[in-house]
Amino acid sequence: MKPAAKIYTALIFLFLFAPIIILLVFSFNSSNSLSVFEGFSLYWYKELFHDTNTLGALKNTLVLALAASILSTIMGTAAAVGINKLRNKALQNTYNTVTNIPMTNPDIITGISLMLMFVFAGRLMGLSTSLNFWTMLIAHITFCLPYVILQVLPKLRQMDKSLPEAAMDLGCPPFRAFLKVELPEILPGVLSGMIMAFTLSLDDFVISYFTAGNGFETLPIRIYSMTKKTVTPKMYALATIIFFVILALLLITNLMDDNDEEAKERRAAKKAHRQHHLGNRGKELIAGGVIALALVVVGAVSFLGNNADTVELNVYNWGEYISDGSDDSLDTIKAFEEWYEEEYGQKVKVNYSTFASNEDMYAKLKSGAVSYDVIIPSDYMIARLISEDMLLPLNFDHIPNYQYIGEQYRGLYYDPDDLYTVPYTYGVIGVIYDANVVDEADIGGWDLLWNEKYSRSIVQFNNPRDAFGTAMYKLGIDVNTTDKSQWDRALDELMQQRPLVKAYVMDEIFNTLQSGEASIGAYYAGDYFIMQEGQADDVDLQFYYPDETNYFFDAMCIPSCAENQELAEIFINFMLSEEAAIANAEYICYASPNSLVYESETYIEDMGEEAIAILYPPMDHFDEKYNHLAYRNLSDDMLSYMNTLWEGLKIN
Amino acid sequence: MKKIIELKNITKSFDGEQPVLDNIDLDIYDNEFLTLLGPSGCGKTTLLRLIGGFETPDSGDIIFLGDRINDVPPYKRNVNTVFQKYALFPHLNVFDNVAFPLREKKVPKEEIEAKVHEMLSLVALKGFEKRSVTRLSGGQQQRVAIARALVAHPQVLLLDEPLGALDLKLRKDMQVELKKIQKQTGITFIFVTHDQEEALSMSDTVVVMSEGKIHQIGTPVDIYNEPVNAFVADFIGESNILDGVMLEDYKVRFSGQTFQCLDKEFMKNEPVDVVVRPEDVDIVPVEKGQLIGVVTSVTFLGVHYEIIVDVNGFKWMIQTTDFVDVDERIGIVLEPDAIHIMKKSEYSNLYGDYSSFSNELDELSELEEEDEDE
Repeated sequence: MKPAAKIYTALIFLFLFAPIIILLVFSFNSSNSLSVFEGFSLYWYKELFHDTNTLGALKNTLVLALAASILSTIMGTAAAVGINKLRNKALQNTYNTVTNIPMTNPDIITGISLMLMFVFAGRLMGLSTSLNFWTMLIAHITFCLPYVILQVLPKLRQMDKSLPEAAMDLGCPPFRAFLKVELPEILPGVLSGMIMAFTLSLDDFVISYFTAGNGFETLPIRIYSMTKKTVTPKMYALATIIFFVILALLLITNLMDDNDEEAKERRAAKKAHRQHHLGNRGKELIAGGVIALALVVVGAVSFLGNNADTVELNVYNWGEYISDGSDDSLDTIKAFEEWYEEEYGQKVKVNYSTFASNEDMYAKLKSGAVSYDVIIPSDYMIARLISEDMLLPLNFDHIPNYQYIGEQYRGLYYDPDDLYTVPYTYGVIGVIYDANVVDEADIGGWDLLWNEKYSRSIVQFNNPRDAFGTAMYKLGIDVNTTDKSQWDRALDELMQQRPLVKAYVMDEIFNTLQSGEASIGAYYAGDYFIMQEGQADDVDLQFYYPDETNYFFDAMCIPSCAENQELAEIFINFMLSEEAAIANAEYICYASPNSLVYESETYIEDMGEEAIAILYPPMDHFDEKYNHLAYRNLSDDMLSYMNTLWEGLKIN
Repeated sequence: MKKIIELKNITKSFDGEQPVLDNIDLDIYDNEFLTLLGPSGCGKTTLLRLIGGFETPDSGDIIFLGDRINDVPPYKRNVNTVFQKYALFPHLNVFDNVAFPLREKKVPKEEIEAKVHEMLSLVALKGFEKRSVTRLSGGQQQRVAIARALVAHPQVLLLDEPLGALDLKLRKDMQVELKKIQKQTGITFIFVTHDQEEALSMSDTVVVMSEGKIHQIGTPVDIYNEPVNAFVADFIGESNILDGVMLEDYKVRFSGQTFQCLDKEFMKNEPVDVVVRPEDVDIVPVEKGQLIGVVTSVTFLGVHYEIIVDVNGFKWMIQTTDFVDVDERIGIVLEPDAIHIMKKSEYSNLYGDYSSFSNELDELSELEEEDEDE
């Protein structure tokens, strides 16, 4: 190769693999910084293997992928054999094209149509919840099937058509002829079809997302739901492992294809040896083994799902929003299951799944295809759910621990009579700045985000609600106003700010501020601690609250589709108990409205005085302030007006 | 002789099209080498597949040793097949390929070893046991296929154009070898080919077919010397076929002349087809000829010359060892035993005139036939 060509090739490979290499490197980072590599460590790998929820999702994903790939391989191979046997060439082509269509279909269409079909079928059969493991399995088989056919069919076409006839001629009944003669010939295609189906099933997100039922959460869905908090480096470790596993699978497939001819030679040679041990039934044993394995997997899953004396509780929460046993923390779910069995003498299985946004959760509930017993949405969404009659009033006799919820956190606007909700966490937006860059004299209000001295060092929210919020708090406008002229004023303010803004960001704020690329931005207090932990050596991140700012609450509630209200209330009560509540508050790093937490000495000691001061800003009339300042559900009209203004800002 | 297979009124068509086999009747005897001969598309392979059990007839009966076997699947018939492309199992070596039918029959291991070795020595492949079948030459693969089909001692062996893929020399050797194997084993062979030379040299009985019908069943000599119609006469060897009139017994008139012949029992003045084989024509000086013609082409073929002679507008093919030149005028003499008389049939006037003949065209059409056989 000429040098230029070599360089070009190298660049192509770099382009292709740079993201993976960076992922790999940062999975070994000793800190959780996204920008600074602070030394080699296996910490995140260790963390990963202590994270029972993620491992559970991984197990689900593997079980699903294995079952889907084996079943779709059996079905796809049978289909390919059938298509290949058709005498009518036109009919053969038609079948072929029809089976290929799902491959060219966008996932989103496949996903929606499957969900619709399952919900429809579920209604017909009178089931309250139609989505479960089996629907997901059917969905995965559906999209894997064409790929298996695509891999097997060419091998069948290459094969001499008289081979199966020859086997029958020599004494084999048809199915035996298939196993003994056809299958060995098309085996490379069958295996690469199976591996393809396995990897497709493993990383499918879109279709799984639409067809996932209560509590059966796959890894891609879980990772996606982690966006409420930032994605932890554990996931880099996991992604690295998955990358190498899939790489290994692909290498095996390729080797199988390349060495097809040689392999035949070797196999033929080896066979003579093996014959003594394995007999000529070896191939059948292997084929039988694969089928048996598929049945065992499917059987095991159904067994786990149908244990008669176990009650089930379906919990739907934000990703990374419960203490999960990592880093020596309490595994809240496991603790509940153990406590419940001891207390009530009955096994309970908590199916825990996660969502990425209030809107996602809402859509899932609204579809009517799922049933959850406990959900933890945010304030404005709770107001909406109540107005649409989608929540059940709680029986507080089952939730005695409610007494520990601080007075100032009761009677909040979204549930003024405290009928439906038990607050879980709250957070406040503040300004984060790099003390090495920003002058002490300039801090205190929202003005800092408009200060020309720090032009191009400021980051602003990349979503309209929060961005307009900063301008409105700065101007003293009601953030829930329906007066459009006030929104126009806020827009002018944002227009003025725009030349100073380095970037409009969401999760990227962690990286930009930690690395010192930008020095000023607004975000939640809880997340500030995470940023500070991973900041670069020459960065000194600090935090303050402007007078007026946004508060949010996330609260536990029971949706009207719940199947086990009392158990749900017992669970909510458990979440309020001292040990669980402290573990969750420490894990999530947002403020807790539970006095068992914020008055606990252990908690204060664990978090540190400084963190407590930031998480719990001293505030009189907290409820009034919250009711006054929090974002509420905007009317459709206002939402679209805001979005139009926002687009104008982003385009100009 | 014992009848081993009887085909009675067999009709078969695919997808409602023109029948591939039309009312076929055929008896096959024990220990016979029978050849189904015909151009591609004549139904000979379908007939073989019916006997093998890969197709079922639309109507009619297949009788095997007195039992109707129409619905018996191939794996329960005591009949084995050597496929056109051998259909060896590529993932098995030579030994395992040959042992395959014995293992299916649960024959004890020692017996399998003995029988496989016996078969491999019969087809001269001793020492190739461990070899992968994908690394054998065409002729060797052919032998493995034969050994595999014979090892379980079927009562009938079906061979579907098994020599088609071999080159000429190997083909000749295998013809001899196949005949030898048939003699040694005493198994009935049903052999399908479109090569008339192959059919004549190997068979006890030749069945000439076209368009789903049987034209003639007979020994090679009968078929060659006494073809029943113009199609058979043309398909088996080369033939000059002329319009004639049978004046009376032993006297036929064609090309404006009256000839002595050996045929009788026709009606008086019955129009007939007259067949004269190219090698039976004698060339004489013009003045001695019964017929006179002009040589239009001469092709040297090693053993003899093949010349085309124009006699009053009808082109004759003549094979001769005498050298004649193009444009030379020659005389032709036909002995009585050179003339064969056939009844008129639907094939009259379709064959037997060499006006448009050329060797090249003949070869081309043969190649096409092989392709179509797929």
